[in-house]
Amino acid sequence: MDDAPILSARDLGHAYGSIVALHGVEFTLPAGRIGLVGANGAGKTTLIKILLGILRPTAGSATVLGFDATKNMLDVRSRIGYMPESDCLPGDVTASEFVIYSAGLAGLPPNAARQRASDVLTLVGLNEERFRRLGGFSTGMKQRTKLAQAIVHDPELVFLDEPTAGLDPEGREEMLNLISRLGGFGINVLVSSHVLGDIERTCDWVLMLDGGRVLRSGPLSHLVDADVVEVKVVGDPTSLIERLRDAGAHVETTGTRLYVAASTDPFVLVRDALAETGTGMWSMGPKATTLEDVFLEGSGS
Amino acid sequence: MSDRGVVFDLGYTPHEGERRGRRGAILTTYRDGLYRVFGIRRKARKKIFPWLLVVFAVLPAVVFVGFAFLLSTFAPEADSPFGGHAEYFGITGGVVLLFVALAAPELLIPDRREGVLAVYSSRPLRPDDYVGIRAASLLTVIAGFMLIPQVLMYIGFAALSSEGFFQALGTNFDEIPKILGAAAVYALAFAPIGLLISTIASRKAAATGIFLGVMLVGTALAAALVEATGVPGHRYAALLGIAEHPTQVSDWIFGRVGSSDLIVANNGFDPWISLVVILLVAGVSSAVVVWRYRRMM
Amino acid sequence: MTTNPALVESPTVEVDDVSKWFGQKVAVSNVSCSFGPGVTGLLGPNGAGKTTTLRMLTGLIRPSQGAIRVLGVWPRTSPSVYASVGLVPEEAAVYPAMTAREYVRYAATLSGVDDAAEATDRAIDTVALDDAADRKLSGYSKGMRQRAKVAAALVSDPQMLFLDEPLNGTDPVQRLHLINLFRRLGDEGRTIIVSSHILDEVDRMSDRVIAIVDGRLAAAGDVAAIRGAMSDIPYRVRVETDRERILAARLLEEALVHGVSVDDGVLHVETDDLAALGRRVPAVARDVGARITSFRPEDASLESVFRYLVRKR
Repeated sequence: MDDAPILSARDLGHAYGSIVALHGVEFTLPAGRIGLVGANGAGKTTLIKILLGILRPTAGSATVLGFDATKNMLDVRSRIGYMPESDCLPGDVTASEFVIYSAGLAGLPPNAARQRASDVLTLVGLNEERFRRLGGFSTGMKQRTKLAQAIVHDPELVFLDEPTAGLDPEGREEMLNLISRLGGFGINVLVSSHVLGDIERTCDWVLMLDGGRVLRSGPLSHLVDADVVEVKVVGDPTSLIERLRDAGAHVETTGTRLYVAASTDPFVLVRDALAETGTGMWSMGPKATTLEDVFLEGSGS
Repeated sequence: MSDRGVVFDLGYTPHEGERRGRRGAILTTYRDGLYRVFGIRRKARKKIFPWLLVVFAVLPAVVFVGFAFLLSTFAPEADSPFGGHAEYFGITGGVVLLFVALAAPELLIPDRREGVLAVYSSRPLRPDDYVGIRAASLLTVIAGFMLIPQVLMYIGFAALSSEGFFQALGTNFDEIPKILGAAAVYALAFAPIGLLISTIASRKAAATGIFLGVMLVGTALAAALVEATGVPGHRYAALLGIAEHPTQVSDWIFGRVGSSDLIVANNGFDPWISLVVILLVAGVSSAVVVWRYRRMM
Repeated sequence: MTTNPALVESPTVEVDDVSKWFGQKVAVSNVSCSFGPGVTGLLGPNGAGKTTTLRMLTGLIRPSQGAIRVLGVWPRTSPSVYASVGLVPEEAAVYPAMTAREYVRYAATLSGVDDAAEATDRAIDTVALDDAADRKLSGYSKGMRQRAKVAAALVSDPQMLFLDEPLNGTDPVQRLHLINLFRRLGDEGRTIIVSSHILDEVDRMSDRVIAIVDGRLAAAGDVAAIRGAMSDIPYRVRVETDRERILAARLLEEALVHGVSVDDGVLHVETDDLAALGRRVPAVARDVGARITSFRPEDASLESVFRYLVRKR
């Protein structure tokens, strides 16, 4: 994967009649794993449809892997995969048949289609089940099949829309692991999800939409504030707080969590204060703003 | 590094091979359409009707030729009671009608209802491609239904002809454009309407029912309304007999105008009007189908 | 006196040695637990008995053996109990032609609520659907439909609320709102049973969890206690520090440390006693002059606990 941006938009807008779904959307997204988050109605679905070429934007433009999403739709569609949120599997064929068909639809010759379908079905964890009809599949199996058809043709970029929907914890775990691995396979990923924890776990970059506009676009690592230490203690924090304040630190508390800032190194301060007071810590680390914090703060709720 | 052992990474391997792009996608979809209407690679019960219709379409041709052979052997002077190419279109026309009633829904509705269109939208196909390819699959099969028996008869009669095989082929050569023309007319009369109904209806059974209904009711309405002498313009009700128009044009092509008892003909509408109606309906239906699918893909 | 963590002191819902089989298949096997005021999470892999248990709790199906009691009676034989129960099932269809207000009002009428109009307004307000309440449900997003369902369940002011995947389809803002709502309702003393697959959220909503795996009660109680009860699985803690190897060596001298490993500059410590480790590490780090920038248990969360429960089969 090279460093050219994989997705970009310039003054992108779209209106359904009088309803404005997107307005003045600008972004440049680097290669890697990107999370797309936003409230319902924030424009995520509209954006994905524009990038896939299903919708023609009423204003502005967008590019996918360097190609204009509207004018060069065929070039875009030749290089991408899509795992829709909704059902997209026919009930009367087997998983194996359908994934082979999907590969053929992507232009793979029959032998390659068969081989890759087989490999990808193994990768997503469908073994003997692949020879059963899709109509009888559980949600977890359907999600895996949907992912299989999205990557069977080795796309450069794959769009995943709510990939963990309906999966039980084990299934979610496996799906998130698979998604994390896609980067290593040379496949860029755009994950749209309501479960912010999933995004935090799998993505390097996040694009946040709110009310049809871009709220934020940036690397997830920037959400860490290295000047403030967050400490969660076991038991009574009173002596610890006193000790820290005596040492000149600024301490805020919410429940069992302490936030410590100081003009000298707060990490060392906290360590020493803990040691001296004999207070036990449960966890400690730089104050992390979760995606949720950013999201709520930005969308003004 | 050891010479004695090696471990292969069985993880993901990229695809460096051939990619056939839009062409590959089109052929794959086209082939799928053909398989679908014949129930190939599907449950057995989906094969019953289509193949039954194939038998109905082809068997008479075999019977015609067979009978002609018997006649030529045992009663060379007698005329065959069966007709030739023109009459046969009456039979295959009916078969094609039934076939479109079943096949058009099968081609369009499941993909739409099950959401599979989303998969097509992420493949190298233009927005209009999908529905165009489905139409092509349908037309291919219609062509097969119409033309295969005709070819069988053409060759069969030529083989039995007193002129000798190759001579007969040449003599009757001018039948070929007529055959092709008539087949095209029937295809245009039925396929676009079938596809339109299957674009709007959301269940296969409903689409089949509505299509057959439109065809049958149309003719019945035509028959009834033309008799309503009190209503001005009642004569034009004859045009509602959609199923009849291709027959009138087919007769016209084969130079047998008036040989079928058709409401539309009986009310003073010339064959070219039927042709215009067919083309108009085909045009409007196709435009609506394309327009609706363009918004979905 | 030992108390069974699967049981609560003043139960409102009791599951008494319940089993359920469908022909040959045993879906639920000898489960005994109870629920009381507050929020309890009901967890389990798909197809492993959790949904069946929930359906028995709501009276939709009958146990093959054992008894279910809601406020002392089995719901199916005493339908009046339903007045106290609000259910938000996963698949419930909503009437698309109705507006949210009409739908909730309908539910109010069905439950025989006294002042239906006022109750409807209150319920709609509680789930913050005021703005959209008069639009048809067919135009709603999934998240809004979920909220409408919750409002319909709340309109009769039920003492108990059974929720099956209530956050399904809701966006992050709606999720947080609903999580806070359920917590609040639980704090008010209602018995709230939430079944969900997104464990992080269950953790935030609930005080205790009941886990059903392979048809059996696999774990019960609060998360930290359940993790503590897994004595055969040591805790793994992740430590980021500038002197990881020196710290590693020194920590290994402590009896409570089972093992250490260093991977890519990050130190992982294994111990049976998480609390004790949290007390020792600052002192040891200070002694060797190691600056600790991160100290986090890797497998003490509900997610990890659940993973261990499922893997134990």
